[in-house]
Amino acid sequence: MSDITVSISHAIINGIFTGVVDTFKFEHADPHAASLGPVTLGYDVAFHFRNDTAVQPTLDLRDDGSIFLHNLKILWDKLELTVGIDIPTIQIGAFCLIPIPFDGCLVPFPGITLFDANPDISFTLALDQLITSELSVDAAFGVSHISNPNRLPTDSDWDAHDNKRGNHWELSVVAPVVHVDPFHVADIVADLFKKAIQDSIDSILNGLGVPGFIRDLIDKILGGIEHLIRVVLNIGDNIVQWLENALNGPVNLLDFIATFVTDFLLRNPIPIVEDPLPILEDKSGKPNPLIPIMIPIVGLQASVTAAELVLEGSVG
Amino acid sequence: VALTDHASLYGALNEHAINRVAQLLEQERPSLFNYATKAVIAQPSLLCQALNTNPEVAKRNNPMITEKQALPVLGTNGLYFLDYGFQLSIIQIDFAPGSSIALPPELSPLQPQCLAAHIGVSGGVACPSSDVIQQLVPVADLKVPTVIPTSQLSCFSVDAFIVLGAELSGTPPNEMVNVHFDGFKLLGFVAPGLEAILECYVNVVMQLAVLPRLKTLIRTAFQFPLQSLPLRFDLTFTPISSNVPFNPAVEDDQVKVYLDAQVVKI
Repeated sequence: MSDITVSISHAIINGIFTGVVDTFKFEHADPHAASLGPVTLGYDVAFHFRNDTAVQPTLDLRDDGSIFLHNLKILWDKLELTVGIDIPTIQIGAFCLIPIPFDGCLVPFPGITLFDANPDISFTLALDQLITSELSVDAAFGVSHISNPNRLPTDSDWDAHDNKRGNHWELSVVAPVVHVDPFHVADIVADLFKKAIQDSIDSILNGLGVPGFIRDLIDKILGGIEHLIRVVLNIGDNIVQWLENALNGPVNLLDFIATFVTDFLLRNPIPIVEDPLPILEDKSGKPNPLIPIMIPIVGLQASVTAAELVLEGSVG
Repeated sequence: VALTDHASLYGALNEHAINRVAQLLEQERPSLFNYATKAVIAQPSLLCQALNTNPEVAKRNNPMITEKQALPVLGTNGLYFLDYGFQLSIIQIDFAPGSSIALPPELSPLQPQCLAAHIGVSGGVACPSSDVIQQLVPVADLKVPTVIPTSQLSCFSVDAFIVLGAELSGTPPNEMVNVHFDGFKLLGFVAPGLEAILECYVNVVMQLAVLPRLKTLIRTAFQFPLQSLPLRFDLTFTPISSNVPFNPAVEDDQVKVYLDAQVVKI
């Protein structure tokens, strides 16, 4: 039988969880996340979980001893998708714009090579308000005794306590499996995407001072913006669908979030109690303060039911 | 049935834990258990029982013994004093139902929702020998207060048994834990009259001094910051009800506490 029993109700555990869930911050950038034929995608993201929605994030305890974190809605602090597009190179040879009959050329066109870089155009879409997702986590609680690596062999328990290098017990999330729901991209993103490509091409042509009829020629070669997107870039008819597939698949943003959240949960245990536990600390401020009474805590274990988390241990 | 069916938090400590904590308290805060005059403190081997302290106490220059004024010799106008020392040790604490302390018949059986403590009391007074008394300066000639020199204490030891209980009164946030003193018995005195007088004295001290002070010291509403998280618990005792008939509850060889909690962002 354990000497000490502490039981915390599910409501309190959930209260702690909702109280801190919006303090978890994640950020990451991968400028070359995926290459999809002529289109490359990179991202720069930062997000946290919201707890201000009608459906609150919830931590459920289960009778099988596991825990379930759900309704974790992602609030993007930043979601910048950088799109690079390699447009097929267009070469227009030299010719005479205004010939002098039988006597050469008054205004020659020197010829031009367009879209020979890779990528030829690059733009960044700010999608933080336009993509929604949420995640859930299946896991369990575990209790571990942590020996402080900074504790010196010569330290007494009091030395270690005074120098903040005492051992402790901690509660951690064990074996988390993070499920990230596929991203949903707002329809308006298709228009933004199309406009960004058009604006980028216009910007290149304006920079080169390409005359209007040559622009018409280039437009004919590319087949118009719709053809460029659908056929040349192989994006198809549904830009939103293509973007969702890219974000949920090759861009690996889902994997990144899952990995990041898993690492976060594994690396952020909650300290429960210093071991030995100091009680009756002398806070008088007098010289030679009385030493605290050090209570060794042994065999601490956690068990979970749907109703509560129970911690049990003994005094050593 | 969940432990927190009728409260946010539940905590329980059994007798083994309390007895072990008491043992550590004696070893690590010995000045709470050992009292003596200056001369005895300077020569602790005079004490009736050897000190049992953690080495850290000496290392940190913590007091082993609380200094007390020497015992005045009546009729000497406060000029002669005797050294003395007395020591307490918590031998055992037993939560209802009584099992580990053999209580004296006057206190037995241990009532439900009560705890019993068996405390060893030993003490000694530096009674000078006739030779030493002969050599003392007459009171009339003595100019300064003097403690009669000693080389040993005349020791005695008795066993004290205390029965205590506690109950919650009031409603949050004005609850109070009332500790009640249900009995005290000394064993080991030869003279029953003296024993009765001392028991009476301890009873009066407990009722008039110790328990009222305890009442103010035991908090029923407190805040508990959660380490490393920007949160704290605001805690109050769960009010007494048919679901929580005793709080704290002293039963099953444990003391159990039921608390209502609010999680507050800080």
